[in-house]
Amino acid sequence: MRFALSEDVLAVRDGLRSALRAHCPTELLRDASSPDGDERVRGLWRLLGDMGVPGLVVPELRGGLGCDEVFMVVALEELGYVAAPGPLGEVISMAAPLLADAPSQQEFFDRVLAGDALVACDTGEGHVAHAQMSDGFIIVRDGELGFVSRSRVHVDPVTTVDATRRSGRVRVDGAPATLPLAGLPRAIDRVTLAVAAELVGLSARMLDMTTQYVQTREQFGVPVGSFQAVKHALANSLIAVEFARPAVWRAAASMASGDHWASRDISMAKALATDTARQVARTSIQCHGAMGYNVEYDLHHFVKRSWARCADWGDSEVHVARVAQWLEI
Amino acid sequence: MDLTDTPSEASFRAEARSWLEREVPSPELPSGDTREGFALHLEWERKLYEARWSVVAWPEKYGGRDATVWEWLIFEEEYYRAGGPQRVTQNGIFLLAPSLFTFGTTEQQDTYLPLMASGEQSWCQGWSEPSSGSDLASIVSRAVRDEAGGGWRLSGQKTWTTRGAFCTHVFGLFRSDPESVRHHGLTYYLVPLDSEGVTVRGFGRLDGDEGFAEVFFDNVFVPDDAVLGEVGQGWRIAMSTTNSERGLTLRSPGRFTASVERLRHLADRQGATLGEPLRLRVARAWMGAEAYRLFTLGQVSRMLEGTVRNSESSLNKVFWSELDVEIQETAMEILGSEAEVDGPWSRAFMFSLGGPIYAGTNEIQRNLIAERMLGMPRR
Repeated sequence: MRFALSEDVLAVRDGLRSALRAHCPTELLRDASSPDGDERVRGLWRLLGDMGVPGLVVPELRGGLGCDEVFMVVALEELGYVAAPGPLGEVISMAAPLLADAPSQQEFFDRVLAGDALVACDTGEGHVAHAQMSDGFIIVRDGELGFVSRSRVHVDPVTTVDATRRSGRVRVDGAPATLPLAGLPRAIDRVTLAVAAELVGLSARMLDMTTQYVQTREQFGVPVGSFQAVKHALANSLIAVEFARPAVWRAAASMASGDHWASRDISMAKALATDTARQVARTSIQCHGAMGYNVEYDLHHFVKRSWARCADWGDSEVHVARVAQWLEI
Repeated sequence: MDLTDTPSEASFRAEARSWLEREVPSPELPSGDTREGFALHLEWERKLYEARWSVVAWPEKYGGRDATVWEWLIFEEEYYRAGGPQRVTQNGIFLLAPSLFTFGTTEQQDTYLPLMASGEQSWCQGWSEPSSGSDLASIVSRAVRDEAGGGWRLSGQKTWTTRGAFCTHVFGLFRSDPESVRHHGLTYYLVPLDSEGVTVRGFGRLDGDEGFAEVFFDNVFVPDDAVLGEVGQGWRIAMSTTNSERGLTLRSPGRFTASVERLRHLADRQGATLGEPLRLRVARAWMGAEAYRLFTLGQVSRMLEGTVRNSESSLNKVFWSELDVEIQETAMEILGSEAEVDGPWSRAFMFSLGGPIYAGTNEIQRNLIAERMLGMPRR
């Protein structure tokens, strides 16, 4: 028995961590909310492409790194920690592996692996995150799975709370190219898991920012972090993060080993990560006082991304209900 | 990452499971927090000891199996899965023994550990005092040097001593340096409760069982070899093992996994009348127990690799105690007006409310988490 990350996973994590801390500063998030920032965002994506990140779980034979879901969740936690802009979760966990199985899209697939093409995912449930900046779309409709390139899509921009997501309502001209449907259930499980991991990273970041802030902010002549009410709120946040992370790791291990219970474990992970992110976001705003309630201080980027990701691919109650179903409660 | 048993762990599990399935008493023993129930539990402890299951992680020469931490976790999981009785000797085995292993002399270890393993001696904890609960370092019970007798004279009062009315021995902290303040000048003593000058008065816990006791010390003589570790180092000794691998041992995940299984059966019995909100709460309780199990597996891996963080055990304490309340409250709601009937469920509910209080209140644990893990300034 051993429940810890391997040396290989840790090496990938550390490499990605140092690249992201250097190349994904919060200034990039400020830029990312308008088209003017597109080039900077694409620069980051190309850098990640050079590192092989988009093809992390794509088989080596198809040009990817051939890593399993444990590597994936560790990478996504790092990407969440810096709130990396663009549909990275969807591309790594869903679009790249699906396109890898579609020889007819080879040219576009190569661009995806290089970090040169961004892919959004349209599930037909409303607006599509990243629609304004994406070069292609995975279309999931009525149990069918397709792909279209940007040229065949009309995008009506939608202003969303997390403006870096550059969302839009999408209308497709004609029928999308079909992708092998067999990969869909696994792809949906995997993207759900990826988002859970991202939420753990976002939560860890909000908690770190808040921990630092309350140690420097003084009221009544002392750091506000010395007050028990603040300490307890932050302790509860740490507990939430510390107990959500192992659930994400386990779900990744279940999926990687083809465990019968993998979908249940993923639902548990998404539910816990979602609850955690909501709690930590709320606590972080509160403990920052008015400093957390404005857009000139960086906390809001992480809070807003968290809210958006909580809802993506099933909110907490949806996944708790799935766990209940799996357990036949 | 490998969450499966190795072949030797699997055979350990199989051996534990088959023994427990055969031997766990049925019907359940009466509460071990009553005089009659305590005696019956000691018979069970004796049986565990004879089959070498009472202290699996201890060395063989003291009655254990030299089990690894993983095997210990497996044993706990199987124990609670089989519906094994509460361990009335646990405060000696899980709270005192780790300190004895680290700080005790060979003589002390040889004297106390075998009798603790067999249940012939049962230990209660003498830390809290009427004015020292969360603020444990404010202890005023004192130890005065008795040069002529070659030992110490203990005076004062301990309270909320679990099963103090039935145990044979107490391990306690006393102020041995009258000039000292706070956590300085405390010494850790091992005291037979039949010593002259000790008076024990049992009293009812929330559920009414005589699970608590006040222990009065009136100039009680103890020899020098009743001191554990060095004189004046009591605080360090008492605290040093709280974050060791045995810091886990207070509440292993198997306990909550088993509680949630019982909750699932209770929910099952309601069938279709169980509404959606309660179904989801049962699922959440299951997730909580799983999350605790997974966290623990990661923590044990960190312990074995030497990367466990200072005060991590405070995370466990808050999580499992809140989880237990959540499990029991869900059961109460499922039972509706039947929850009021005195029985295993109402008792488990009342017992769960002690969790956030004993072994350092959750408020104290949250302070420790914030100060030691997050680096928040102390006041």
